[in-house]
Amino acid sequence: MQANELLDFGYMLQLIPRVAAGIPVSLSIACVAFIFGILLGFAVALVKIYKVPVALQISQVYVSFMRGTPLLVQIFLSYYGLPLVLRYLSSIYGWNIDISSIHAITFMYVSFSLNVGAYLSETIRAAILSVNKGQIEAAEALGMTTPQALRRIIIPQAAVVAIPNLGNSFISLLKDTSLAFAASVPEIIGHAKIAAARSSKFFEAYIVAAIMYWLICIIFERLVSIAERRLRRHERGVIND
Amino acid sequence: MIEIRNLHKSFGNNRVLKGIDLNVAQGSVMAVLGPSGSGKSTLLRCINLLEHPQAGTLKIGDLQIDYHRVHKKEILEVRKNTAMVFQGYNLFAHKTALENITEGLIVVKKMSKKAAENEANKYLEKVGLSEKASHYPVQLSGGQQQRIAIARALAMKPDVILFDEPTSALDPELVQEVLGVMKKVANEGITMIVVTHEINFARDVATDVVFMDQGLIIERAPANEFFRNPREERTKQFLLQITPDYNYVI
Repeated sequence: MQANELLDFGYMLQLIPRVAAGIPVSLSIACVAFIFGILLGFAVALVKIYKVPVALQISQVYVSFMRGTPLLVQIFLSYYGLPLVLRYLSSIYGWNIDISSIHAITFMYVSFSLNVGAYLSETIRAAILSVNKGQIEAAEALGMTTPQALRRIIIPQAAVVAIPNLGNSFISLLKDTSLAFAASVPEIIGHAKIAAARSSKFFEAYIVAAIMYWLICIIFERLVSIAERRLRRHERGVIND
Repeated sequence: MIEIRNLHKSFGNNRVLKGIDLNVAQGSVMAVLGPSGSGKSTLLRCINLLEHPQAGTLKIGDLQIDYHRVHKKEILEVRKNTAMVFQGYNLFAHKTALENITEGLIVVKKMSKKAAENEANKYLEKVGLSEKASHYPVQLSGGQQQRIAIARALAMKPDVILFDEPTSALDPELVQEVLGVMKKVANEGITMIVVTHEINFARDVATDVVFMDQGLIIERAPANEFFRNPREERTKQFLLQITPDYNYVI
């Protein structure tokens, strides 16, 4: 390669499979955290809507902390702190767990789930509150219990409202997983960094990583819009039958 | 069959119902008339506990509840024995016409999907909308939506159907199709309580009429008597207002 070339394209092509090896890790953090985040966010949203005593105060502190501290700090707290907490607890209660055998990615699942759950709680709360009160009354008047009305009537309608925001959250979560390299979890950036450290071609490595994130995000944007169209099918005015 | 005693309901300091006593006989069609703000819709919503009254008792069939300390279970029981048709239809927006009717049958009555669909189809036919079974509410006119809502209520086979101004949100030309369905229902001997401004419906279809004002029942009479010979001065004024050319002195 000549010294005056900006980029070594041949090297970039070689890098693709190596950096791509991090995709499953990035996706697994994003997907696991998103699923638990939705469950957690839904629980917090219900606590806020129904103003459940004690749980409401706990939820408020939780959401405030997660939104008020940097994700990187939360990752460090969970990566360095959780093992200590677990070791302490297991020494008190005599649990027989080998903390060193817990993979670093487990702590990433925890910190990302907690983080995304806090943000999603507001998205989900707003979506639930956007469901027309008449819909809930109609369900109640039929004799449905609150859980039945939630499952059958409120959640399906709230989901339609929430989906664009959920899609946004997922995409930013997916990009945030790049921070997991700080806890030496070999995701996309981790692999790019390792390769670059060996060749000193950081620019190339990070361009490959950037394109990889971009492509994955484009795919998920598509998926979200397909899901949204499916969920909104009852809003189409014209019927094709 | 329905007995309400001493029903009181306030919203904050605003006393909306100030001691209502009402009996509704099996198979009767009771029209509840009154100026807006008289508490007639609230009365209806207290019956199935969409509103929670401060005091009073309710008897529906074998069910007896004290509004002051009512259990969740009792609320569900009351709601299973009543059905409501709303002013704004309130069809489930994400469900087709058929699914709107099967929903309660499947979830509340625990019917199988197949049985519920068979049942729902009967009621769709009854309200004349069989061909709209797979349409979503947004694809139906207001009148059609309200007819589906009536079918949804009927399918639950309640002891009583509560109609909360069922035609007030409709375009004038759509009112008749809904009233027509209601008349059909009334002729089948289903107990109905109808809060309405449709004076003609009250006169032609109702068996009894209740006139409310300022949270109290002012007058209650069999329908023909109510219109021919209202006793209370307030009732006479009201009837004159809503039917200026109406001649109640024969």
